[in-house]
Amino acid sequence: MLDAIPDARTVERLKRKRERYLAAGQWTLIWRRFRRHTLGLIGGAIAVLIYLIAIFAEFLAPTTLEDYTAAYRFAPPMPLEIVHVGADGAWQWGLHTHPLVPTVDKVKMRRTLAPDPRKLVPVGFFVPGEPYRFWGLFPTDIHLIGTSDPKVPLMLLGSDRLGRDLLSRIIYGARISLSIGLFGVAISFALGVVIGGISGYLGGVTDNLIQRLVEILDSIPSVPLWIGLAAIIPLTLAPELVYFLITLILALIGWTGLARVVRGRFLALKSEEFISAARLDGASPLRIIMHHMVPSFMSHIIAALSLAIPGMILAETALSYLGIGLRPPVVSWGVLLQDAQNIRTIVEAPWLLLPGVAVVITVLALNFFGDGLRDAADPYSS
Amino acid sequence: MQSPDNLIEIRNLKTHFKTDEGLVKAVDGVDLDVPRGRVLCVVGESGSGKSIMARSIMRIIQRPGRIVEGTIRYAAAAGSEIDLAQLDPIGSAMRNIRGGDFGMVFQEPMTALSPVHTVGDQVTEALLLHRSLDKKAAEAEAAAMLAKVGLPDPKATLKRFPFELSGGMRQRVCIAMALICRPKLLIADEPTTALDVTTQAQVLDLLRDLQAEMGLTVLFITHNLGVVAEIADQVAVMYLGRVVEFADADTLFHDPRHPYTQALLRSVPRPGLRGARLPTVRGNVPHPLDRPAGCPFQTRCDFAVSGLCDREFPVATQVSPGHIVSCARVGEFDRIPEAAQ
Amino acid sequence: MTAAPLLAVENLQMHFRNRKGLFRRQPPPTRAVDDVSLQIQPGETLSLVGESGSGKTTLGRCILGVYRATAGRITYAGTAGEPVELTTLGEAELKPYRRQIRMIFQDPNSSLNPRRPVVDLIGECLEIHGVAKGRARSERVAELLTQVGLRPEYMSRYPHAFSGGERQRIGIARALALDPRLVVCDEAVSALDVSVQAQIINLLQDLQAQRGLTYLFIAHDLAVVEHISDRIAVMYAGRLVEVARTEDLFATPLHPYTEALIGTIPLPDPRLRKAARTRLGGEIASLTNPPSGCNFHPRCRYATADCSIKRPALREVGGRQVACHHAESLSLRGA
Repeated sequence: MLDAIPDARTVERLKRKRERYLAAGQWTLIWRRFRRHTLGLIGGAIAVLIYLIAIFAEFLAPTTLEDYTAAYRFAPPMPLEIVHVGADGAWQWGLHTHPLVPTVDKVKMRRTLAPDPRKLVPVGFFVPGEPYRFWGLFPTDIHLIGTSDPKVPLMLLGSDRLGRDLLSRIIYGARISLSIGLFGVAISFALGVVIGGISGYLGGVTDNLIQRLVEILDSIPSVPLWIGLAAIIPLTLAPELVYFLITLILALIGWTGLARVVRGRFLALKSEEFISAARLDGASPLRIIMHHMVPSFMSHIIAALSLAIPGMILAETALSYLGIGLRPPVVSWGVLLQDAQNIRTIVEAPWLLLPGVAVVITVLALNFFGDGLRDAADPYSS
Repeated sequence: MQSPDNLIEIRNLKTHFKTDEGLVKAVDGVDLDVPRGRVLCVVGESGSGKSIMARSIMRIIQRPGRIVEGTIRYAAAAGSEIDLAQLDPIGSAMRNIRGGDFGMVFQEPMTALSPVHTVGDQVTEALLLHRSLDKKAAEAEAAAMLAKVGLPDPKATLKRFPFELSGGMRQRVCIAMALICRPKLLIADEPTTALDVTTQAQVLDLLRDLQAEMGLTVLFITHNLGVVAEIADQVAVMYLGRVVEFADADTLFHDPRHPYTQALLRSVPRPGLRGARLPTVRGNVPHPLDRPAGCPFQTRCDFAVSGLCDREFPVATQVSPGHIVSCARVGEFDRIPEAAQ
Repeated sequence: MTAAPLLAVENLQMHFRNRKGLFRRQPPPTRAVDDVSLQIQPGETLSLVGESGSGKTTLGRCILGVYRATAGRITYAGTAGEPVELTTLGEAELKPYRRQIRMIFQDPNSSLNPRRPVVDLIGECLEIHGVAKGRARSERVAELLTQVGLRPEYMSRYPHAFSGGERQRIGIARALALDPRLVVCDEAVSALDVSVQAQIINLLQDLQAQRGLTYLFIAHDLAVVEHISDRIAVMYAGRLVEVARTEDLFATPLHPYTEALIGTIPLPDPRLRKAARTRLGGEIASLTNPPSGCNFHPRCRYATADCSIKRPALREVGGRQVACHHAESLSLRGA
């Protein structure tokens, strides 16, 4: 009686690949589109790597945060060699480094440290070193890489004015810098989605008022605003509390961008026919928002978030660099860069700028990832 | 060129799209002659490839699509012919032809017109590009063209923006833009589908009058058989990337020989059939990635014979002068009998 | 007179306000539906025909409660027998009637949420109205899919897996899920290919016979309308101009606009080509600034001075309804 039921032959002939496409939900389709975006993939991989480094910081760092070696102040990066040609011409294999000894640099007329080519210190993996507690939970002293001689530290990126290993500090600093990015963005997300959602869904006068508020907040220059808010924080406050307050400040000013994105999506979605259809089905506004609108803009939000994290990281770095953000003993990349404020220091120990390189790499990686995600975010546009 | 009566001769045109899901053969071996000075309607449903074919002629196919095979021979001037498929789509040769010799009208007048330029700017643009006229002369010609397409108060309309005009008026502006350089060929891709029926009738009349007056060759793409009956001199029926039947309009409607054409004509509601069940074509158009081997229509055809229809695409047979059918069984009957319902 | 109507629209008005900023004078509203009265009989297919700006879509949506009419009444004969004035009900009170009056949308691409599988799209209304949940819901969806000609296994797929015609079938299944009495088909076949259109038309007719449905069929294609309707109501620029049984309307239209519309149907036969004759000139009347009197008079070949002064009311003429001062005296050409 009813015609046009697709016949069995046609159905069986569908290749498995197409079957997967037909049953693919939006996240599968988004992943497929994202996969084609090479830069986005690379950025994402690097970002994941950096976050893993932050998670396993204590194990990956050659030594702990505050461990110092007095004899190795302002030490340049120590070389890591695989083969050593001895004075007798013999080749020695094995990963090793040379201890640094004081020398006089006749060109610059200064005393510096330089590697002693005559002494070899083997470098190994999974070596015992300075004891630490992994995430403050269980104690151990195994580090990924280190020297076999406890008197010779392994300073692959050099050391600062107190003789603390820069690489280790950069790795520990990653944990703080990246987590501020995440927590700050999480708070921004909550604020942005709620306020932007209300603005977009209700429209009319509410929308107008909220948007004007957003514009006012946006028009305040951000750096002076941060400085002003950060300056209110008392100097004697506990470092962890300072960390929390800085995160809050950044988030309270940063939610506006996200709110705009959410509002834009809500407005666009409101006029979609399938929303009308859901309303005619009898769906309550809450159900429409949660079941129909949120899945539609989720991918855009994630793209916006991944582009907001670098902003937070840069903001925290700037504040800490200026001395009004985080303070030691809470160490972030910005705090590390404080040591690089002095021209003389930079000239004599240029490796102290390396935390800045870490910031650049992280921000670039997250930006590429966010770009790729944004391009892939709407798999249903042709 | 095989015949001097043809403006364009397409042989074995194949335009393929490399998508994530696979290779979509949108146009897969089309042979078509576009005769001079007549209206050729290309009819087909979604997935037939009619739009892609028209855009292939204009060489405006974008990545991931490209013409992979075939020739599009165009009789440019007396005695000379160019294969459009070989030209660089953004090179100056093709650009001169496109706009100078060919004009195109699209389905959606609102998106075909730039919202930030005035009507005058857009209509004179082609003139300024292809003829060396100064601005004043171009505007005069543009105003004359707007009058010709039936727009009231052409001089004032030149200064207006597209959003100030109604749908029918915008489509007239698009027609004016396409015809301003007195092209030899006008390609119209579903130009009336987005318009109201009364406006559609006006625009069809306009196209017919202009075609007669300017001696235009018109390639008119549509899925509406009624429109075809109104305006076509000749008709080509396409299905899944191939031409299955070609005939002049009267023959096609009164003596269709391809089962698809027959089925299509039967499924159009017409006065007098009230309440009865409409005969339909069973099944759906196969997904372009699931093209059946051989004749693409066999999965839905009441006369398909396994072993015959699923091997190769049927050879185009001329059943009478000017009437070409691609069906393996066309020689078996004088007319293909009505299918039992 | 006929039996009690299923749905009666009385003097319905839907005016949209046009805001132009704080400091300018308020421009006139858009009169999308301008004093329309209409009745839908149970079991019939009433087609609402018109071009863009005619108000047919707006009228359909007012009936569904998507828009709140600015004036007038919509009375629905509920299953209990007592007629209910839908226009006076609030959102919550309207909910049970949303089960009985459903809509099939025009564009199968935008009316199905691409991010949800078919079982959710069809089954959502079942959940919301407490009809079925979980397994029972899936079974009901499977039943509905079979009834509209799709395989039940497809319910876990997403809309992009289906062709246009199949998506429209999903839309029909969704509309029927709650066993409605009145289904508003808002240009339900306009966006489909010719061969698919025929399938869907047949399907709609079959379902109507099986379930005793009443259709309000909104369309602009007169050929389709002629095939499927019992009665036809023609609208122009927000006003009803003619209501009649299908055969009568096509044989002898009484309103000049109806005559013009019939004249534009392109027939699939080149021998019946219509030479440039009764083509309707001009543009559709403005909804914000309608012509005085009869809003069709600027384009009407038969208009007299009277027509620009007094607006014709929809009145009974020979068992039909028409809004024209000259309905009795004109002899217009039919199909």
